[in-house]
Order: sequence, then structure tokens, then C-alpha cells
Amino acid sequence: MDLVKESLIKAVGFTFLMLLLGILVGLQMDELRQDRISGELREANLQTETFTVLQNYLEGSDENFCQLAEVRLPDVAERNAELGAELQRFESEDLNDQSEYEYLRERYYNNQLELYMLVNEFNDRCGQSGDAILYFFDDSTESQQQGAVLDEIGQDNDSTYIFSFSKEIADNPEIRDSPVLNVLLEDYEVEEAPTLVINGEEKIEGFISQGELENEVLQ
Amino acid sequence: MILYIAWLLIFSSVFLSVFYLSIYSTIKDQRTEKSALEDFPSVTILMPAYNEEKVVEKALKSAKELDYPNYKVNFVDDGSTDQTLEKARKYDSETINIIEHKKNKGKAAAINTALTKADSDYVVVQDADSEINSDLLEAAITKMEKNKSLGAVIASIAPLNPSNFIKKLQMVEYRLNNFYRMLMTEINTLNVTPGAFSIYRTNDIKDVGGFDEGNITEDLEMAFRLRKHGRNFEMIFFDQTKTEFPPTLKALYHQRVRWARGFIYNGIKYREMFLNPKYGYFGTVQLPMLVIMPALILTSFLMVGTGITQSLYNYLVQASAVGLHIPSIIPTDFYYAFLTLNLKVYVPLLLSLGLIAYIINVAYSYSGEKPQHLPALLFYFFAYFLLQSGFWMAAVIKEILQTKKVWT
Repeated sequence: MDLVKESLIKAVGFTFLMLLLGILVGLQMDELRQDRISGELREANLQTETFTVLQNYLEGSDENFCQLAEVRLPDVAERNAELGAELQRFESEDLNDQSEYEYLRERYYNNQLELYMLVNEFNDRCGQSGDAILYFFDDSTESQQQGAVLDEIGQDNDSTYIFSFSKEIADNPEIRDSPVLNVLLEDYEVEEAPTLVINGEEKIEGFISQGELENEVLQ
Repeated sequence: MILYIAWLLIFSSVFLSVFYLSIYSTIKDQRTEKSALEDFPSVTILMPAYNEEKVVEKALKSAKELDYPNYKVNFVDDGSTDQTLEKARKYDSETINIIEHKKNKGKAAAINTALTKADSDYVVVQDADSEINSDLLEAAITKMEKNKSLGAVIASIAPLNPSNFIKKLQMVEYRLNNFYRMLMTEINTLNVTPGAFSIYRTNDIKDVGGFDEGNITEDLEMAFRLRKHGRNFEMIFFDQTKTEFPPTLKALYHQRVRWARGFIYNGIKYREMFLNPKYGYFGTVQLPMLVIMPALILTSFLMVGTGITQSLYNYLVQASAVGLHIPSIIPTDFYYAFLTLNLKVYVPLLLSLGLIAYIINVAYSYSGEKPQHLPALLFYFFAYFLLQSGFWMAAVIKEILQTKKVWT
């Protein structure tokens, strides 16, 4: 075989090995990321479930429930928000098919809704004035801006709970539907992104600045 | 999509690196080759000059002192407006023939003028800003005499006086280019006959009608034309011609844009040679690679540019909502930071860069030198493709707009 053909074959072979290496590394990283999300989701589910069990157990004692909620709810909510950010970030890096992430996201949304209901109950039973914000976003610039505003508010204020949902999932027929998301979108008649639903009552469509949100909307 | 483009770029680079390393693994050390000339065929050096008053004397002095018994120099001053002609006249002698163009006609026309007055067996094209090693001529003619199918022999190119960063950068580039050209010689795909030093058979050049006077890269055009006429080229790696490199970024830009436009023009002119098995691996391997390389460089630039623009845009979008924040560089959760790394791109990328670094090291060590001029070397390694893509983009735009082609 002549030198050029031999060199071309070696180059194709080596390049193919490198491609395989890239794919293997990508798949391995997907595994590690999914493991991390699964582990954190399990932990978040357990915390929410524990909270729900204790809430039921302490049904007769508002004082004990409020003490428990006041201490634990901000941590659980913060962890949940971090989990959502990680899920979104890792999903965009995924080399595999998206089905595993669709499953993880559905479980995450279930947990979000459960936590959202707990926050509302905490506010009702304990006379708290914290805010529960449902945030529906897409990949628009306005949503990016709104996300940055909500991150700031969430960091600055322990009594503001933010629950984020990607509206694109409902809009994209290629992604598996999330029943939780569909119910929320229908209930609050969410048509565009970004949309905020404050304490289940006030709906804000389009971008709202940090100043307006803090001074005019939140309690 | 971006992942697949990134992989395409990385794997193309890996492919080319492994391809040339495989060729390198088979080559013999050219230093062992000895001259085998029994008689000394006549040679004429064709030396065109236009406004080269700073370097012309050195070039003529080096041409006068060549270690070869049977040669002449036809020096053509192409209507210089400085002291080039006056300085050249000092060297007018039996060996050096000074010819004058009253008006500037362009480099190819100047070479043709010198060519019409040449009746030797061989002609050498040597720019007036170049100096050649004293024994280069004999080494080149030895190759031509040994292999009658050869249409040209070229030499390694090195800088005269690499005094500043831009010149050192080109020195690194030429070190690698010389190495690649040597490897191309091994597989008979060499595609250039540079103006700094190329030796041809006089009859070949005259038979194909001399140099193309309307061409801004007449050397490349001649190389393509000779290839089309079935001629092969070889390179002498260990004998050098030294030439003046563009000393400023602006001068480098003008030179490279001219080269790129010349490549586009001549590529279109000789398009029937692309992928044509009639021209051997020159047509089926080298010419496609010459097209793929700038495409890869441009794509890399667009990818890096898009990435930076996207990050900046995202940052500004966030800043527009919540004000400017300095993003934290040190992660609080190292495992999470690790998981966010795009290793499916970074791992092949690092291996690909490792291969390129290895080739640079091999290129230096094969030349018997150690890597030097570290800042220029690092810039070449990590960022030179950005400059190259700028040159190519400018060339493509100028070709599309059909702006005037100027020899600079």
C-alpha cells in the first residue's frame, strides 16, 4: 500500500478512536450528571415528604408546625431552586436522548408543586406574609432578564419562594408533557413567557423589573 | 449543533495531524544526501525588484557569492521610485545584469523580462528581499538533474532579522510550514513555488508562456500551471533562503489577504484539477485540503466569536435586569463545577492540541533547533487562527466585492 493511502487509513482510524473517546466521555458525563440530579431529587423528595408527614402529624398544633416550617422551609425551597438550575443546565449538555431528563424534570415539577402548596399552607396557618411565586419562562431575552431578577430577589429575601417552570415544554410537541405543568398553565391561563403568578392570585405577563416587583407587588 | 461543529473542527485537526505524522514516521533524513553533480548546468537567477532600496544590496551580494560556477543574475528594477536601481547598478558586472523597467509593470512582468534574456538550462526566481545560502543552488540543481520529472525545487524559508513580535510569529509559522512542505514533498503534493527561491527548468517556464502578468500570486499560479502540465516539485529542507518578513500587522495583513485572494482566484482558474485523479494526490488530497483548511480556520473563528458574543450577550441581558455583577470564578461546589465542564469537547480538544504541540516540537527538532520565542510560539498555538481567519474573511469579502487586486 502506498504511503498516502496508509497515512489516510491511520488518520481515519485514529480520528474515529478520538470520536469514540469523545462520545464515551460525553455519555459518562451524562451518567454522572443524571446520578447527581437523581440523588438530589431523591433528597428533595424525602425532605418534602418528611415535611408533609410532619405537617399531617402536627395538624392539631399550629405552633409546632409553624416553628418547624419557619426553620426548614427556606432550606428546602433553596435546595429545590438549585436543583432546578442544575437540571436545566445539565439538560442542555445532554448527549443522550432526553427521556431520562424528561422523567427527572417531571419528578422535579411534582416536588415543586408539593412544596408550593406547603408554602401556601405555611402562610395561611402561621399568618406569614411570605410570597410564593410561580415563574413560567422560555428562552427569550425577557425570560432571561426575569430569571436574573428572581434570582436576586430569592437571594435577598428568605420569605420569597420561587417555583420555576419551563413553558417551552408545553409548547414543544417533541418533549413529553408534564401533567403538573399543564394543570398550572391551564389554571392560571398562562399564554406567554415570562409570566409570574404571585401567591396564586396576581398574574404578571411580560418582564417586570426588580424595583417594581419588590415595591409594588410583593408583600 | 454546536457540539457537532466543534467535533468536526477538532477531528479534522486530529485527522490532518495524524496524517502528516504518519508520513513523517517514514521519511529519511535529507542531511545524508550528497551532491552528485558531474558538470554544472547553466543557471540564471531572475530577480525582480520594486522599491527595495533597503535590502537590494544584500540580496545582490548574496547572489554574487553563491558557491556555483555557472550562473548569472538578471536583475530587473520594475520602475522603482526609490534608490533601488542606483544601488543595484553598483553590482553591475559580468555575473549580474541590471535591466530597467521605466514604468512599474508588476512582479510577473519583471520576472518575464528577466526570463526573455535568459538562455540557461535553469532559472531561479529570487525576490530582491531574499538571500540564499551559498550552496543552495548546487543542492537544488542536483535534485533537478537526478529527477527529470521535477518541474521545480524550493527551499526552506527563514526570516532575515526577526527583530519584532510579528516577524517572530511568522518565524514560528514558517518553521511549521517548512516542515509540512517537506512532508508534502514525500507524497508529491507540494503546491507552492515561493518567490523567495524556486528553481525551474528554463524550457518548462518558456513552454508554458512565462509568468501570468495579471496574477497577484504569480508564484502560486505557476505552481498550479506546472502541476497541470504534469510536473512535480521537491523541497530542500536543510538549505535555506532567508527573506524579509512583513514587519507590521498591517503589512502582514496586506500580504496574507493578497495570498488568500490569489488562492481563490487561482483555485477557480484551475478548478478542474480539484479531486481529479489525473493529477494524483495533488488533485485528490492536497487541493481539497487547501480548501478545507481555510474553511476550518473560518469556522473556528466563527465558533469562538459566537461563543464570546453569546456569553457577553447573556451577561449584558442579566446586567440590564439587575445591574453589573462580577461573576465569581472560584466555584463553591467543585463537583458541580466539574460536571458543568463540556468534557466531550475538551478531552478531544486537549488531545488535538497535544498533537499540534507535538508536531511543532518535531518540526523544531527535525530542523535541529529548540523551540524559541515563547510569546510568539504561544500566540501562534492559541490565537494565530484568529488572525488567519481575519485575513481570509477580508479576502473573501474583497473577492465578492471584486475590489482591485494590488500587489503589496
